[in-house]
Amino acid sequence: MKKENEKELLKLKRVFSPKYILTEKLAEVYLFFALLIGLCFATKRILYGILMILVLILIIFFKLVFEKRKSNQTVMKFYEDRVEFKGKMFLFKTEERSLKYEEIKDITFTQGATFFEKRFQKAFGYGNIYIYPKKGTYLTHGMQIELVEDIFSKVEQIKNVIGDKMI
Amino acid sequence: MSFVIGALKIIFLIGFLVFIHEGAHFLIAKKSGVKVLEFSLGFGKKIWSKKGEETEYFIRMIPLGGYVRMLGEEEDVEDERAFKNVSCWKRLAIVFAGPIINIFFGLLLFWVLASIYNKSPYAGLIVTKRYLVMLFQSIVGLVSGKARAGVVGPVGISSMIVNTSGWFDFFYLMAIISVSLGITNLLPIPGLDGGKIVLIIIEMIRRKKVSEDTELKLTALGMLLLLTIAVFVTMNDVGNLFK
Repeated sequence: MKKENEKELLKLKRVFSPKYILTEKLAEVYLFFALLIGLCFATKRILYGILMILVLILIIFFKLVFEKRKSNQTVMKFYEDRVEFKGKMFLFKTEERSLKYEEIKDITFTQGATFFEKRFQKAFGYGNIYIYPKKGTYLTHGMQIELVEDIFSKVEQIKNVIGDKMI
Repeated sequence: MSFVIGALKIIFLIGFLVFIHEGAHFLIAKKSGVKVLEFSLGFGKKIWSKKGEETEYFIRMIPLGGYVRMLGEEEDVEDERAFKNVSCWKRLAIVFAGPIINIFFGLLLFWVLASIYNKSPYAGLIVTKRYLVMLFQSIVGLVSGKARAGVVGPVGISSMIVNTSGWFDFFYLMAIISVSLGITNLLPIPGLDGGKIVLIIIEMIRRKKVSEDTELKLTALGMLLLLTIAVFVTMNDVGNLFK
């Protein structure tokens, strides 16, 4: 019985897609930086202008590095009786959490929160999955995995794995 | 000090033009019975919000843009007040409203300034008419390939705004940018209002909705195209600033 419970039925990973990160981030900050760079050059603050270009490049570079690390560290595994999560729930600490299916209140999914996230996540077929616990709060006991590839099929697979075990 | 004044000029000019653009979409959507979920001025983190009867109003941190989020604008929803479920004509009116108000406001401002400059509203009207004819000829020239466009991106535009001297100069540039913003937005590129207009017209001809999937892919493709153009235009603008 124990062996059966240890069998991994579904594994979700956070995808690392430079194409998505570059387009989404650039679309989000482009206008702001473009106007700021223009402002710096027009007011003869050439160095600030160049600095702004560098800042923009650095933001995108760090975003890529940060996302790569986050993707490597985030995983959600579904077993016969429980779901396990390893990764950063919020900014800093990497956490390991486990919830039995009967301890789950709700499972939802979205495709992006901001204007550009929504458009690009839908276009790329990515999505975010949120698991809410019955006991405790979402912050302390919940789970979330963002940028899951082929989101609709993954949601179907979760439904098949959990079935009616979530009462 | 010139930096702060320059920044305020940019925020006021861009912020105001975006406000009237989104405001027009918002008003016509409301008038057409479409449920508007969000009306936001600016992008990024919210600094103020107020929940109305069915619309939530936001002011966000970066005051250089904004958006209106309507029910069923992106996804299929079974609600007769959803954007996708109202008639094609109503949707066309909502989408057209933004660019049209920018063009109309720009021309109105141009006429006011020309009237002040020429000390006669009639003379202002003649100058505005001449500007309109010139604009029309330029567009025809561009479409037919007989003229070449000197494209200026946000870097160049912000530099031009900062370099305006006096209120007349500033509002003249505002009028030109407003008309350009309206016309650019009407270009048939997915992601822009013009792209949405094309999709609605296709739906009217086919008598069948363009699938959500196709629309999303086209929008993402359009945004990618706009981003690529933006990168090249920015490089060109920065190059020009160094000259």
